[in-house]
Amino acid sequence: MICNIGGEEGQALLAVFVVLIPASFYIMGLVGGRKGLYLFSLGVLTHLFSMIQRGMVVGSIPLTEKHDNISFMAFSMALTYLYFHKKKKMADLGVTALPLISLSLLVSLAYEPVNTMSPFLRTPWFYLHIFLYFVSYGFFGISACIGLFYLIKGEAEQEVNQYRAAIHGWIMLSLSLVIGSIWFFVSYGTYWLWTSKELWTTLTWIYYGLYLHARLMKGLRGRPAAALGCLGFAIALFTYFGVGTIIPSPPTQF
Amino acid sequence: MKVLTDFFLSLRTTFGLLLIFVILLGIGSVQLTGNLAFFSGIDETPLFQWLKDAKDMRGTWWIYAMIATLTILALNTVFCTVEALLRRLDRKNLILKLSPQIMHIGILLIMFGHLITASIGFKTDILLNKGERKSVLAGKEIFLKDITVYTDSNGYTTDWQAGILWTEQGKKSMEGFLRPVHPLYFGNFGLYVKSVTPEPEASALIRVCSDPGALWALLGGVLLSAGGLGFLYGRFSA
Repeated sequence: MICNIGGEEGQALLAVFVVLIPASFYIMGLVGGRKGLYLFSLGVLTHLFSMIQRGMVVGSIPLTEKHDNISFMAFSMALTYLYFHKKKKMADLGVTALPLISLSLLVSLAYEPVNTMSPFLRTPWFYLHIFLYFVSYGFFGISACIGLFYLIKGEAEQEVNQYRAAIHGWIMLSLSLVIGSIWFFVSYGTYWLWTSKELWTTLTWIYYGLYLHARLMKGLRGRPAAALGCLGFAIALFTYFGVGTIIPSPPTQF
Repeated sequence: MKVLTDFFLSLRTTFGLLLIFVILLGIGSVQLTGNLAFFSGIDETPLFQWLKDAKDMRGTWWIYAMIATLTILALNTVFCTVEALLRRLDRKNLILKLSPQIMHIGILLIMFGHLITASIGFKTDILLNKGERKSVLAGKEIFLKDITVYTDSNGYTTDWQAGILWTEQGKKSMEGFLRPVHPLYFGNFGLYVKSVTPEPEASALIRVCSDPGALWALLGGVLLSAGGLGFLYGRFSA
C-alpha cells in the first residue's frame, strides 16, 4: 500500500520516523569509543531536528503535552550524559544511560501528539516551568545511571558524580516548582492545590532532599545513600507516569 | 535542654522528619483520590477553616500529621541554619558559602506563606451574565460589561476576555479586561476569568481571591532560587 505522504497517514509515519531515527543513533552509541560518540552525537542532532519539527507543527515551543515532554526529557538526559561522558571521562556510563535515553524517547511514541493548547498555558511562566521540570528529570535520570554504576563498581568518584547530577536536578526542580507556582497563581489565583499530582511532585522534591541529607549522614554515606538516589528517579517517573493513571488525579478545574 | 538542642540540631532528625513527610504525602495522595467528594471543598476554603468544618479525623489525620511534622521540621531548620550561619560567618566568599542557608531560609518563608494562606484568605467564584452586577463582599461589587471569545479556523476556542467593572461603596474603583493568565489586581484582591460561555446567554465565571500568604511564599521562592543558583555557581564553577 502506498501512503499519502501529505495526508494524515504520512504525517503519522513522519512522527514515528523522527523518533525512531535518534533513538536508533542513541543505542548505536553503545559501540563505544570515538565512533560511538559520533553516532550518539548524530542522535542528539536528529533529536533536536525532531523537536524543531514538532515546534513547527504546534506553532510554539513543543513542551505542553506528554509526547513532547517525554521527548524533551530524553533530550535533556542525552545532553547530561554527553557532559559526564566528555567532562568527567565517564565513557562506560553509556552502558546504563544509552538504553534509558533511547527507551525514554521510544516511550514518547505511546502518546499521540496533541497540537492544540489551552490559553492558560500560553505564558512564558508555564514554558519555563515545564522546561526546568524536564531538565531536572534529565539530571535525575543520569544521576540514577551513575548511581547504578557506583553500586556495581564501587568507585568513590562515581558517588560524587551521582550527587553532582542529583543536586543539579534538585535545584532545577526547585526553580521549576517556584516558577510553576507563579504560573499557577497568575492563572488560577492560588499557588497550591490539594491534588495527587501536587502531592507527588512535592514528594519527589522532598525525597531528593532526603537523599541529599542522607549523603551527609554517618551510616548512610556511600552505597545506602546511592541506592536512595537511584530510587529517587523511580519515584520521579512514578510521579510523571503513575499519578493520573495508577493513582487518579483530577484535571485542574479551569 | 541539651537533649532538646541536640535533637533539633541533628541531621538524623532532619532525615527522620523528611522520611515521615514523604510517607504522609504518599498516604495523602491515596486518601485524596479515595474520597474525592469529601475533599472537594479543600481548595475553596483556607485549610484550617476547612479542617475545622470537616470534623472527621479519620479522613484528615494525615493533614494534621503533616502540619505537626512540618512544625518540627521548621524548628529543626531554624536551629541548623542559625548554627551554620554562626559557624560560617568568618569565612571568605560569604554569599557562596551561605547559599545552602539562603535556600533553607527560603524554604522557611515558603512554609510561613503556606501557614498564612491556610489561616486567612478569601476565595469565591461568581457566575455573571453579561450586564449583570453581583456583590462580592460588603460594599464591593463586580459588573460584567462584555465578553469576547476568539476561535481558530476549526472553531476551537483559543482565547477569551471579559470586560469588568469593580465598585466599592457604589464608586468605580477599577475597570479592565480579564483574560486567561492576565488577571487584574486591586488592593488585596485578585480577579481571574475562569471560563466564558458565549451562548445562549453570554456569561463568565470570575474568581475573586485574596491570599496574603502568596507574597511570603514568593519571597521564599526567590531566596530558594537565588540560594540554589549560588550553590551551583559556588560549588561547581571552579
